[in-house]
Amino acid sequence: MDKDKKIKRRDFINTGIRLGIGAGLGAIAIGLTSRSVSGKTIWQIDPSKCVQCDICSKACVLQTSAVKCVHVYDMCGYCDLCSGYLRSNAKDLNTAAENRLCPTGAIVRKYVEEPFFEYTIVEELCNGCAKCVKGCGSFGNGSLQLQIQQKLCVNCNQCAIARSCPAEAISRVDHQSPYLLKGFEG
Amino acid sequence: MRQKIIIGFSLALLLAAVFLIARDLFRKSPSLTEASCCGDDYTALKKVDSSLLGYTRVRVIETDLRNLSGIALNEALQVFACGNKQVVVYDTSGRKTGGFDIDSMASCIAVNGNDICIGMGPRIAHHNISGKLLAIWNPSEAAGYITSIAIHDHYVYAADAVNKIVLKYDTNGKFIQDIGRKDSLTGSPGFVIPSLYFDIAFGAFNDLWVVNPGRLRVENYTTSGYLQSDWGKASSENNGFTGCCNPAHIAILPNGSFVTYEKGIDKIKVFDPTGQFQCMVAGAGSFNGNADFRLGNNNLVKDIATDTDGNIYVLDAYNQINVYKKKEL
Amino acid sequence: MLVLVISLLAFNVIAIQRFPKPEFESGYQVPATQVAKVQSVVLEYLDLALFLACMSVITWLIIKKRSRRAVFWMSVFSLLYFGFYRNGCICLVGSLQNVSMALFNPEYKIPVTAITFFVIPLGFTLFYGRTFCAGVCPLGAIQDLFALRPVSLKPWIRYLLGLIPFIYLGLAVLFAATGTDFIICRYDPFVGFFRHNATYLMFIIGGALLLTGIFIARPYCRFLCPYGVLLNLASRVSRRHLSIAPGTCINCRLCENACPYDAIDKPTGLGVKNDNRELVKKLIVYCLVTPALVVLCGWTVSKYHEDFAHVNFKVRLAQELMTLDRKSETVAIPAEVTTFQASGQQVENLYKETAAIVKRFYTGSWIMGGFIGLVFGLTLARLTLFRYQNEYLANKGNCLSCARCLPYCPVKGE
Repeated sequence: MDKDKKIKRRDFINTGIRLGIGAGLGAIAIGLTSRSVSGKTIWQIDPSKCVQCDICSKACVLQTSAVKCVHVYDMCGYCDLCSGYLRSNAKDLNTAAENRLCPTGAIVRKYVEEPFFEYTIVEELCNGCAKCVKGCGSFGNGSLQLQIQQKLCVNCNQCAIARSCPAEAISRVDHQSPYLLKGFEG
Repeated sequence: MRQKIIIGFSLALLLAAVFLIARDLFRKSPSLTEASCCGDDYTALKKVDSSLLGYTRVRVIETDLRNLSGIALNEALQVFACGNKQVVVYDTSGRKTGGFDIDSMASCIAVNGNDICIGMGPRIAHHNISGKLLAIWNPSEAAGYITSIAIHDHYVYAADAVNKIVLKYDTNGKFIQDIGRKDSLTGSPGFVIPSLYFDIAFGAFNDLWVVNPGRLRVENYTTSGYLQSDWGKASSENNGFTGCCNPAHIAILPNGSFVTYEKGIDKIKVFDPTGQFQCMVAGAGSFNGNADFRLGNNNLVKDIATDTDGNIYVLDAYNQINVYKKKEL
Repeated sequence: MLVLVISLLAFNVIAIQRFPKPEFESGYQVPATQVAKVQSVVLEYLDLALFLACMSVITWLIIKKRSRRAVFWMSVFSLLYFGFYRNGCICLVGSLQNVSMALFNPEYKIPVTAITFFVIPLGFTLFYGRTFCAGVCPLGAIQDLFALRPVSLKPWIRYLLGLIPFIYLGLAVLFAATGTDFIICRYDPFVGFFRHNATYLMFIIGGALLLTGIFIARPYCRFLCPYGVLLNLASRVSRRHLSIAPGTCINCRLCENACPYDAIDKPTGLGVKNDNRELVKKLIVYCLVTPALVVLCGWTVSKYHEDFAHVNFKVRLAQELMTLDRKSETVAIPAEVTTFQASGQQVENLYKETAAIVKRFYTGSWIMGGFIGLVFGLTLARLTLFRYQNEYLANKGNCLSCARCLPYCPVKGE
């Protein structure tokens, strides 16, 4: 009899706590869902905050960083002396390999017409080191920008590059406007 | 006994893992030191050899304003500074003597006698010296952007960077002609303007000098639009211009020498009237203040101007006007 | 690797009107900038549905079907799918950080999947016990595979180590709520194996834990997992739970050494019955001791709130800016300092923000310390209370529902 009473009391307390926790969970779920919810967030770099420190290419959890240089053609000046393609302290101003900035040769230059040259990026070669971004932004229009390429990024809960970025340039953005390119309205 | 060793060993591993986590989490050492970026080291380019300095700074006019974009001087040594919806006038000792409001953000300003002309994006406004608006018009080409303006002999010359042309108007806004359009018949090469920096200035001898930034040179036109000469070349040395589109700003001294500002390396140089490098005025370390210099957000120098005494006025990104006087030899 | 439906969409570009574009006379067209499309959200919801299905299946397998074999294969499936295929991210354990961050930072928009990942296992646990741990958690599954020579640990060791998850939980919530970092993600020991890449530290911890796991089974689950704490507490009040005997236990003792996690409570024998006066005395002592412990621990932990705050980026930056003048010329200036100086932001604003963050850490560490003190106190209380038990029961809190004990029980179900 005593034991039965004890068990019933324990059950009662258990049920009570269970309902309490359950209600709490429900409150959290509904509260959070109604207040601020996005379908999905992804990580993206804000080019106006980026300082081209080259940590992107090293900090990403993937073997080859998901950060790639993107060329916004509309902002490009198509210059012969592209400061994102050529080193600016080169003695001879030609396109010999030792005068080029990109360490992996990912920028390809093509003659269009006098005096314009088109520059394209081969994404498979780009390692996200931002040397060209720094050159283009310092002297030119800043049409070369670093972005996290969403088909490569695995969308970690906490981006390892975001944690290491000295400029706090990487943040969560809604997946519906995944790219923060300057001069580009997609 | 073996059991105890195994337990001890495993526990040790477990605690080691926990300890490593704790140590890494609460590390006190600085997280990042300057990452060695860019085999291209712009600090070497930006360095100013102090033995080449030909000018000393004599005064700094603190304007307490924000978003100033251009300065100009008249013969009476008044300094006109234009910015966001206003024009302010200072005397050379730095005291504010007047000013007036305009209706939008100004991009450039020019003063000559009683006339003040202000470029405001796609529009040009003509005020008199006390600020009364006399005329306002849009350049004849569609949706341009006026980056530089000059007044000479009652004509207004406006440099439109988007349409890559210099336009000539009278002071009422009547379009006279365009200058510098690419023309194979006259041999005019046309302007290569990769970015919104396209500056013009009038020399001491009625000569119109226009910067052709994509070709890294300065070209001389007659007031009726004929190309007479040019100077300037691409070079990372002091005798040329670096990058893809420089000089970003230009001003001309009374003796015909050119004062140029190159963006990217932030150097202000003086070239003699034939285009030979003469001396340095200032470099990246010369100005102090607080402004956002992350990529593309700001250049160190916004505009340069000269006065009839041969002094150089530099408007920097911190909205200060720095006055430079030639060094005594 | 994530399954991606890649479609390279060439977005139509509307350039900023005033930008000087080169005039091409040869008819050259400026190409459109190409950017890859983001993986569709639908796939995430499919994952969620699959997760829900897995939870239902595993719960049924444990409570109704009672098959160890099935639970084992379920865990292998989870390891392969949620672990190696989905790379183990977003995982349940991490989702509690998302929820903490969302509760205290209104500007953080939490994805629906994170909320559901947090709530669903807890919901199931409230009613059926820790079925998630058994067959759905990939972290648990990989450790389960390594539990080859499990040894039994003395209770005092278990209780002592069992405090670590509470501390980890407190720290995780503290750091997530202040928006500082997701430390569970940062020190996830097994995601490196799933994803084939991680920092050296994560691999070392992972390797150490797997090695330990050969002898001390499921070390992360029992002594580190912060979500496990929540499941533990929820499971104690669960309505139904894995029961070793499907009916009445006959004390045949066949299951005694079946559990690698020391989660089977043995019958206690008749022992001394608590007499009421002793009970009341103990109650009074604990009513005094526990609050004292709460305050003591809260005060102790709050002493370290600046060390906690140092993990926050802004706080570190402010610290470096403040000590900048005192540094010698030879020490390299950190990148974040030069960046901050180049950005033109006011130092005073940074200091203000930092002061607010440090204050939050102060409050947070008081709460965390108090929470740990509470845990101390309640654990002590529970240890000294004698509860009579005359059959073999799975400890409701600690049992991970792995169902290893079930095949041993000869009792036929009703």
